[in-house]
Amino acid sequence: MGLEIKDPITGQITLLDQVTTEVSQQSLFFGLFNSNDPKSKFYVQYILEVYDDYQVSDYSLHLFKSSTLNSENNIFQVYEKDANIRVGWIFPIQSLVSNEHNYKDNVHFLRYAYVAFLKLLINAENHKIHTPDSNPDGVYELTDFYGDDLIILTLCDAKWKSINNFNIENYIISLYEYGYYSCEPIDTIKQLPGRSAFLPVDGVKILLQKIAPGLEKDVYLSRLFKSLLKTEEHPLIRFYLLYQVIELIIERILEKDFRALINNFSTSLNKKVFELKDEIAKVTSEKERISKLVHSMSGHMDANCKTNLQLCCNDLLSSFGEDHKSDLALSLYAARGSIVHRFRSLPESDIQKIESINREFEAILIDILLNYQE
Amino acid sequence: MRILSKIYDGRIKAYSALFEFSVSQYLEIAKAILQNNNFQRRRVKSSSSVYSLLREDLKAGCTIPPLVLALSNDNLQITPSSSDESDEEIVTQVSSNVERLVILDGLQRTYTLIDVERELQQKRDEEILQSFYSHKLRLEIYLGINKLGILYRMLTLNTGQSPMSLRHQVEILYSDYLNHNVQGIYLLREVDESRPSQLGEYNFNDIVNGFTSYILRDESTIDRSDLLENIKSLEKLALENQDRDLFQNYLSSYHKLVLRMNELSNGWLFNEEDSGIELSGRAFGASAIKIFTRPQIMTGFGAAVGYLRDKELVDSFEDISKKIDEIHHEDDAETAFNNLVIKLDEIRKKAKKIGNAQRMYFYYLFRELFNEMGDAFLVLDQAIEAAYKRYLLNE
Repeated sequence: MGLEIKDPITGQITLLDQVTTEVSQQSLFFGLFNSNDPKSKFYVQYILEVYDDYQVSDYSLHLFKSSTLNSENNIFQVYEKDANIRVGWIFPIQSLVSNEHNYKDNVHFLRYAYVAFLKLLINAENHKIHTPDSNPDGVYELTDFYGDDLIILTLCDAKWKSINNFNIENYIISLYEYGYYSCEPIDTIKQLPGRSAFLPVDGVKILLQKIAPGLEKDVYLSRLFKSLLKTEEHPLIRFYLLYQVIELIIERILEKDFRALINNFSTSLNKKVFELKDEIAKVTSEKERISKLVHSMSGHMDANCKTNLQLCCNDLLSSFGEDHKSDLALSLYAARGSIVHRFRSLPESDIQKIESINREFEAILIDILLNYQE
Repeated sequence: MRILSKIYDGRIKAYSALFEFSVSQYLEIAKAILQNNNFQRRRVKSSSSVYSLLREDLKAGCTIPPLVLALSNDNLQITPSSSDESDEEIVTQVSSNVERLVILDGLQRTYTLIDVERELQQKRDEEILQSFYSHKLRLEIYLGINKLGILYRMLTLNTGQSPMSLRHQVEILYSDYLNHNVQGIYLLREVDESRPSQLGEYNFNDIVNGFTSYILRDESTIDRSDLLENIKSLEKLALENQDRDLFQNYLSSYHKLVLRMNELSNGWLFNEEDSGIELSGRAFGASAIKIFTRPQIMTGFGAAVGYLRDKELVDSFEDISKKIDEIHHEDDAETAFNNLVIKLDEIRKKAKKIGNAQRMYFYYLFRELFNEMGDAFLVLDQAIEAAYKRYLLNE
């Protein structure tokens, strides 16, 4: 826990596990040192106006990167959507080491900025960070350790504790929707197609929406949005990864429908076995289940995304020499079938059509995952 | 203290004299140097094991390579004919100007010598202390060297060893400009708890950054040291006329630019309400003086002049100074300066690093303004537009 400095000559690494504050030349410096060698101090300057009236231990940090909301001025208040309360702020690391942005005089931001800066120096969460070489001055920038493209979500623990079962993991998809990808400081992110990027409300607020009930504990969803989609570039693989979400939900639909069917059958006085067989065939049909999912979630989907996804799917079907479908569920199902079974016959030049599908598909899936009700 | 040899260095036009000092004599002047030059006080944090080995060696009476110092020629009587002076006269010149000495190479060894002295004093080991004091070491002192020559020599000495950033070397070297009024220009240090408030007052650090940007041809002036940076600087410095005071020339032409912009603005003050211009935040500057005295302009200006010099579009800062008189705008002052504020606001809204982006914009602005091959040559409002287009292409 703490930051580390490397001696370029000996290769020796010094852990800086202690942090003090010192004022020099009218500026605040944080002195960093190893508890066994308090005399060898390294310094990081804090250039923003100091508002240190918040207790650092009352706040928690979560780290992200973004290829869209990564400008110095992309500083936003973060609200929990259902509770409609401000739970913290999200901002790029650059806003902590510069005073050229529009929030340099905003006291509310400055309080969070100070907390975040200090917590990053302490690195209690043991994030994977850079180890800079020691330099002659012994003075460093925060970005020497954390890189210059980090996004920091700082949450007020007291506020989020007032929300039932608040857990940041349940908001990863919502953050992803805004283009924030959970990352370690040493991770690099690529500009990948298909990532949705919501815009902050009025340019100042991020509304975090919790994942739909019942899906919180799904391990695949966490893996998908925290790691898989962040790095995978090939359109075919991305489609597979995304389609797994459909598989996951329609499996739940199947279980629920199947249970209802058996339940009805077992309580029915007039047991019609052949009808049951037909019903079972219907609920087990993937096509039927996709239709059911799409139609039940239609009201929560972005209208443009729906139209675009259908157009993109039909466009791909043309490449396979198939007819267009008149319904989103049918065109998605048909496109999925062609991609899975006939990808080998898709011309190289048309692979980008899958990329276009992914872009819309991803946005639709996020709508489903945030709003799905069993 | 005695002189072992004197050699004339034709490249930097100065004498290099090799002295033999006792450790106690050197420690006396070294402490005075460190006392007088704030910027030379920083110690290397690294390689503590290497220096602890040196400490032990020094106690055992080891001989260290010559330390290199310089005595600048400002107000000194040292001339090329100094070789004819007696050694005694030169020794007098050095010992009576100790406060003007700069350590070019050997700062960390000097600190180690001081550490050893302190350690032996604390242990009250008089015999070893006296033996340490009387041990001899060699100093190579450049006499009658100008500042550019010192910088050149510092860079050659530092190339390939314990790094010191170019910016830090400039800071050490030109610290005597602090708190002196030179041609109506006054440089302040932040430590002095005073901020530039009058026309002609500038923050020393900002000017150092601007000058470093000129040498490096890079407006971003990251205070980091590396071998490539030093080599690049050497190449650029080799082009300079060693007889000029480059720092002073940078400073004078920059100051002249500020005065000219103030004059061109015709008392313009940005007012969001009156102008009907809605910005995303506070204006970059509400008056010409406020805009053109910000550090981003100093580095942008330095790097742009460096670029134009490399392209042989200008010859020197004197050349730029002459052109500054001819800067004008085609629209009225209010339109021109309002447009500048709008462009800077657009940059601020989207830039990943606002400060760097603003420096880049001003770099392009001055490139356009002083490039006689371009359409915006000496026309401020056109340069504002052209620089913005170039910025968008390169951000």
